[in-house]
Amino acid sequence: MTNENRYAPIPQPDELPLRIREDAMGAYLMMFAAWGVGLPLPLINVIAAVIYYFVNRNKGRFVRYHAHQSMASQVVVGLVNAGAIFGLFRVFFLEQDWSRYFFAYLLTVIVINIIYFVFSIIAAVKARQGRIYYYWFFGKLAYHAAFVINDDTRDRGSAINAPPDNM
Amino acid sequence: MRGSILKEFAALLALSAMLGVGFYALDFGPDDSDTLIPLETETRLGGLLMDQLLVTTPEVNSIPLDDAMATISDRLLRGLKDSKYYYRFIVVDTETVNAYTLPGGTIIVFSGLIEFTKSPEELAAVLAHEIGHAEKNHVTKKLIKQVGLEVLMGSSSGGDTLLLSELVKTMASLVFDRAQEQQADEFAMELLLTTKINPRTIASFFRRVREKQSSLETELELLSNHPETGSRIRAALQYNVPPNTQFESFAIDWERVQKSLVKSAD
Repeated sequence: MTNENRYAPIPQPDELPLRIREDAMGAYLMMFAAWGVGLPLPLINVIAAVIYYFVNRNKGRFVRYHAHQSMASQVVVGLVNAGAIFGLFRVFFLEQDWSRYFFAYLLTVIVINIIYFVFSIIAAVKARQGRIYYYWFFGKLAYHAAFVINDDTRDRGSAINAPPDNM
Repeated sequence: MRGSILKEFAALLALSAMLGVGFYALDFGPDDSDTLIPLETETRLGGLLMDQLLVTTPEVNSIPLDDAMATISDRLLRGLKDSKYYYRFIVVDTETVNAYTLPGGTIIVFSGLIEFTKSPEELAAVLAHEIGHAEKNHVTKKLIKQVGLEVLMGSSSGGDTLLLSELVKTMASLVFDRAQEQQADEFAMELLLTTKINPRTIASFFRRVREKQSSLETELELLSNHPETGSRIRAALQYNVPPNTQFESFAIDWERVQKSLVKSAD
């Protein structure tokens, strides 16, 4: 059903079937993809999150929201981690010395990852409960991406199937 | 909506930056000023390595050379502040154009380098660079990375001449990374300036080294151990020398010193 507001209404927890809630929760588990493969490569987490988004975005706005939030935040954290991995590679394999800058960067990355991990678990639990959970910056970005109603597209709300056009 | 998104993005960036600056200020990283092995051990190891080197490569002694080395080293060492090392400069008889620092402050100079240098100021520039590697603990750090702390500590007790012989070879071919070479260059230029020697002598020296590379490849270990020569020449030329600085040349007959090497070889 198309809404007159620019954004579609947010479904409430009791409107969301378990399957949808679990799909939304799954978006936040992509951060463990690299562990599954057994390689300390941030790119794997990012690829997994991106694939998850594109595979699941049509399962409704609630799933799209959480998948988008997870994907966007994963990309940024992945880039930050890639910098750390690159620096560590230079220290251990190219015999570069530790520099004070790199050490500070590494510690910052570790703290960012700890914070990200905690908030991802919280978001996963909230998603399972059928609740929207907003990260700073990424939350609003995801809300816009998932709930905005474009003039040239029909709003399908949470429904997968919809009547044909002009009926 | 866009405004609030940007505000939150800025807040995230600011918090991350504050975190990074905080860690930088607290300086949790490895302390560059600490030596990784005790000074006494380092000095003992340096002595053993020097003895091992002199077994196969004799020391060169001539009165003009000894006087020149004493004059140059005294001037350089007067410019050092609070060094923990007792520096020694040993000239060994080999055509190779090279110099390197042993643990503990002994600097080995190859006679080939003395023959290659055009002036005592050029030699002083090389020695100042090697002193820089010692003062910044590059030598022990690099050795530990290449052979391991255990091997290094074990070799300092002496006895294993094969190990010491291998370490001597490692020392001669030790290649420092770009940051370490830059640090040693900066230290050297500061020391040269303090002791009234023109810091840009480093540039003229390396320029000649680079020009001669094609014809003297096997002898110019100095070049192979010091990559990125071009950028180092540029850095030396751009070094900030205060205007009206008066430099003092060494009152050394350098040709006489170089000729004395030939005589002592005979």
